[in-house]
Amino acid sequence: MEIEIIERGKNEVKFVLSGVKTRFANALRRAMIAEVPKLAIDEVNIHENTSLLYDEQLALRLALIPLKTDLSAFSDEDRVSLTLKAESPERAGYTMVYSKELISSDPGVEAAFENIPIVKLISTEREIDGIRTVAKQKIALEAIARLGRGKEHAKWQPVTTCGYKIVPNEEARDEPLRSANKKSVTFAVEGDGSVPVDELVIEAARIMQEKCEMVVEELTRNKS
Amino acid sequence: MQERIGKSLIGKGKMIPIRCFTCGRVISDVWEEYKERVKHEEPGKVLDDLGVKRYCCRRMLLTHAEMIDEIAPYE
Repeated sequence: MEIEIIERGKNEVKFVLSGVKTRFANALRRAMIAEVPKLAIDEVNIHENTSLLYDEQLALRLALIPLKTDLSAFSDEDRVSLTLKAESPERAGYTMVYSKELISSDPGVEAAFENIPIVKLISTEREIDGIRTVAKQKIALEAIARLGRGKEHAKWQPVTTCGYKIVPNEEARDEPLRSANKKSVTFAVEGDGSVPVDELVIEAARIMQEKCEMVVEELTRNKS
Repeated sequence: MQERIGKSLIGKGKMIPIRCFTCGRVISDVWEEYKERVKHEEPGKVLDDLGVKRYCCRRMLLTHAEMIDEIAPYE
């Protein structure tokens, strides 16, 4: 098996895996999509929400924000709390609440993108019988993030596009038998920003290895 | 070109979705820049510039109609 990296960006990687069968490539692909863990907001305690979004809309938007995850530092039981407090201005106008305003209990965890607009808080001014009043909007909440996997919910999927293309070997063109045995696949993986892509591919391979080891262990135990 | 924002019924919503519906790429972080620049630039070129490559992600920004300001007075 040989790996050659063709392209490497901040959030995406393209590489050729040669000398593997497509079923192996597919296993790796599925591991990347559904098995690699990452952090995402799973529970939200809303203390106050007078914004235009309903509580559940707000919670869904929070859950979809990719959080930077250090895979070596977290286990499945770990929880990270993120708080968010915001208010609309004193006079008529608005404040946009961005993902960077989430205050994390863990210094290593933060939103992968700073400028995701979560909600727009609008102050409206009204004049009734000559008295001016300003209606303000406010949100105050605590979000709890936990480690999850893509098979449970798409918010825990660390990749956006992740696929492969089969490239037949040049040399094997004359021998149909060899081409059937030896093929190369080009992978194109794009991460969502939470886990670095190269780390993600390695983690997926490690998960596959672990699963195979489990099978071997189980079979040897049953034999004796 | 300003008229293009706010006329589509496909992407009608209170706020821009965080991610692309199809592929899951985060697109909302470039929305405000897109909204500003599209006033005097070609939308396609702005999208290229912002690194929004696939057509699934491009339609998210192109067809989005922000309704939050219109809803605000009636809440």
